[in-house]
Amino acid sequence: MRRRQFLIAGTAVVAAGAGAALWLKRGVTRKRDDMRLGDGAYTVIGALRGTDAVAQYAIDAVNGAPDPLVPIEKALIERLGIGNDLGISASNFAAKLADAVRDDYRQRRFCKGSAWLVSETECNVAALRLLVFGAAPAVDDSAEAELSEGKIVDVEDWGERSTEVNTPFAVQSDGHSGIWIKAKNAPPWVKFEIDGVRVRTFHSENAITTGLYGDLGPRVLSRVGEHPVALVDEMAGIRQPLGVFTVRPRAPRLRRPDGTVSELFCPVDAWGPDGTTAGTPANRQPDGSEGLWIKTACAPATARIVFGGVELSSTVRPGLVTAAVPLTLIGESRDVPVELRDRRSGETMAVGTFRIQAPGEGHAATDPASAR
Amino acid sequence: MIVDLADAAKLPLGDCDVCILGAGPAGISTALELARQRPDWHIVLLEGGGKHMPSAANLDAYAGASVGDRPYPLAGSRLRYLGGTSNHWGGWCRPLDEEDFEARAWMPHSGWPLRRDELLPWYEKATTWCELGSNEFSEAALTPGLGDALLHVDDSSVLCNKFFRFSPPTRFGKRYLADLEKAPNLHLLLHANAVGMDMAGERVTGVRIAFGKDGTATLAARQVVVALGGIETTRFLLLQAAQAPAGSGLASPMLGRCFADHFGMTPAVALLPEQLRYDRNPHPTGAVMPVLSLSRAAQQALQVPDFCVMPLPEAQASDLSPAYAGNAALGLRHGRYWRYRLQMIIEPRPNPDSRITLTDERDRHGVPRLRLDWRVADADRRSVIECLDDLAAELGEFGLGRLRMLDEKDYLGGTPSVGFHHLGSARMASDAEGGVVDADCRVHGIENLHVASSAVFPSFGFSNPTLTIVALATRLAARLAKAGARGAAEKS
Repeated sequence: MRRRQFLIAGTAVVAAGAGAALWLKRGVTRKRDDMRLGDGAYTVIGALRGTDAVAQYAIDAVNGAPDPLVPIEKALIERLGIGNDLGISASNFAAKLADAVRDDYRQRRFCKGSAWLVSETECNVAALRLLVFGAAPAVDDSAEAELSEGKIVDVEDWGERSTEVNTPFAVQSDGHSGIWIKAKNAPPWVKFEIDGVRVRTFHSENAITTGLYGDLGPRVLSRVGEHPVALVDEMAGIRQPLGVFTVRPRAPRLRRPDGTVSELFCPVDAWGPDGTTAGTPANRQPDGSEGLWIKTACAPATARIVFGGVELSSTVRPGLVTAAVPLTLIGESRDVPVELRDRRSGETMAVGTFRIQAPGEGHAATDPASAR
Repeated sequence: MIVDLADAAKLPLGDCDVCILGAGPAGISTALELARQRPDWHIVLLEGGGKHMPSAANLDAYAGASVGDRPYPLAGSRLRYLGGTSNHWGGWCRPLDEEDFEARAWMPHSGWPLRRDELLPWYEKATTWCELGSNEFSEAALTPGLGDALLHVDDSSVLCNKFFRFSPPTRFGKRYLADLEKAPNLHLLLHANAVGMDMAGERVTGVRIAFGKDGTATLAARQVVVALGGIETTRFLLLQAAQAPAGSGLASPMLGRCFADHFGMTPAVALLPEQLRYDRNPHPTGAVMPVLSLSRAAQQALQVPDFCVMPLPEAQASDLSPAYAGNAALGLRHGRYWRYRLQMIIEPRPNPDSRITLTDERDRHGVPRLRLDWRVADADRRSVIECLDDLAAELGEFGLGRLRMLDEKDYLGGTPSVGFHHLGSARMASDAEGGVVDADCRVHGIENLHVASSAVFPSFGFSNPTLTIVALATRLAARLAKAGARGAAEKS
């Protein structure tokens, strides 16, 4: 016997012993007078779990027999070679049963008719279990079984976390709004869930990506409010809440002096810095450039800050648009118009004038961060 | 240097030492290897598309007829711009197995005219080109770090674990753009469509190129490498068949035949120990993905194609509850079990009836369109399905789990999923009767015509082909560079 086979047999004996104790404790006794196998064997058979699905195949195989139990039990006795030891102990029966099952697989003796490729002996003991003890209560192993709240993985961050009503965000090539979750080595079967709906989820070593696919997009984006989001490990039965995705009401749009209303832009609530000294950024960034920020309730993802006619690489987040102004653009004193422009439509909104003063004239830093 | 010929009126150069057709992974790696190894040579790399996703007009050349018993995605599986199909590549990498190179008696037309170990140094080079980080693929090296993520199989088992690695994936056009721009002895010509070759006896003398609105020109070349992808390479070679010297690879009865693609199906589910991760796993040497496969001995004994199985967990109600696996009395190992669906990738057999031919219809450059009669041998799928009995027996005998076959109509009925791997239609063989190119990827009987493509694979294994394509391409480049150096020395 190979070492691992020995271990398996040993485990089987222990488990069967436990089953036997349970049976005796419950006071289960022989149910039929014509059963040849003793209590030891039926202790093991009675302790089998989840076997009803394959039992019927053994019963079908003896179709026509007046009582299927008789030929099935007989076949099992012969297969295990225990005709002279019908009162075999539970532990010995369990060991012989495990050996016979293994041998069935070695010899490709499968239970006929079953889509599950299980051994003939397994089907026979499953049939005996069903015939003697009746159908076992169903076990719900499905994804619909209740999930418990818990931790699946360390989540460093996730986004996007909000958008304006009916406004797709982080739009991907197939049109879905993308959501990212920074988490290292999440189990690959973990799924993202929003509003209780589990969606397609992709894994890499450092991140999980997912999104609002198909009609889930309009369904979520059209409903103002908070949408619970979570990671779900259906296999382990765990849900890890991440928080909520917020769909904001539509913010009031910019009303222009001529009375027309912008579809894309909201009024500027604040912006800065609004000026500096030539060659010296008021809100210095790590690369030495001038950091510019504009607070506004809405701006399209395709908006860019335009500084004196130069379109800057810009970042649009809920309520905020930022960009870095290269030093070359603040090198000499002048007044520079600042605008927001939507790349897609070309629509432009005036933000203000950035004043660059000559050295010596002085200029107070307007950004709280740079003042610290 | 990169020159875009989209609006050009004439070709900016008249000759070169090596002309490479097609700037995908094979073409780019061949061109840059040659440019580095032979600074004295002038290399020209032709790309039919531009730097970006092409317009519909530029995809016209890809139109063709798929007439087999199952439709093949002729247009969707190819990309005609710089970087080629690496632009939609998933990045899966794995060398072919040793047995994939061998002639298997039960698989007609199988076997390469070279051994796997001859390719090993080039696989290592390909690892760098594909940015894998490590060339370690062995079970012995990778299994210990993965513990219970793997099904525990030992040497006595018919099963073994094999491993994929992942390229970022390398988009060859973007990743090597700067190198292509900087190489002083290399011209990359964009929107330059190779539409034919001029030949004199057993030599190619030049490549005919269509460019701009209606420009055409011939570029003289000492050596020509066709690296147009598996399908276009075959179409281009078939164009030359009319002027092919008798007995050459261009006149081979196998040219256009044995077209194949890796195909997949999910024929079974299984109860297996919980937490198996036959998916991307972190590893100190870079992410690896284990797959279950048959050992070489088992494959030979069972006479089945190479294949792999990925057990992927699924939380679905099952007629056989995972509780079943708690039955130690049935020989099952202790522990929790999950239900997995068994997703398979299967090696197709070389099938001469699966074939690319040319039609009378022509594209806008006047090149005949192709016709693909793709055949998937039912025997391929059936033999693998039959060996699932052995897999079930293995799981049962060693107490690892239980397996259930799904309904045949669910996985045999429709078109199988494919990998977009265009294999085999300009196959490698020891002579022109059996194939188009020799073991060095040179077209039989043509002195200076070579192929760098998965079209040369004579049998296919289950591994994604890019790593092997690049290995063969870098090997070809080294051979050309060396042969050229020898020729130059002899001349001097």
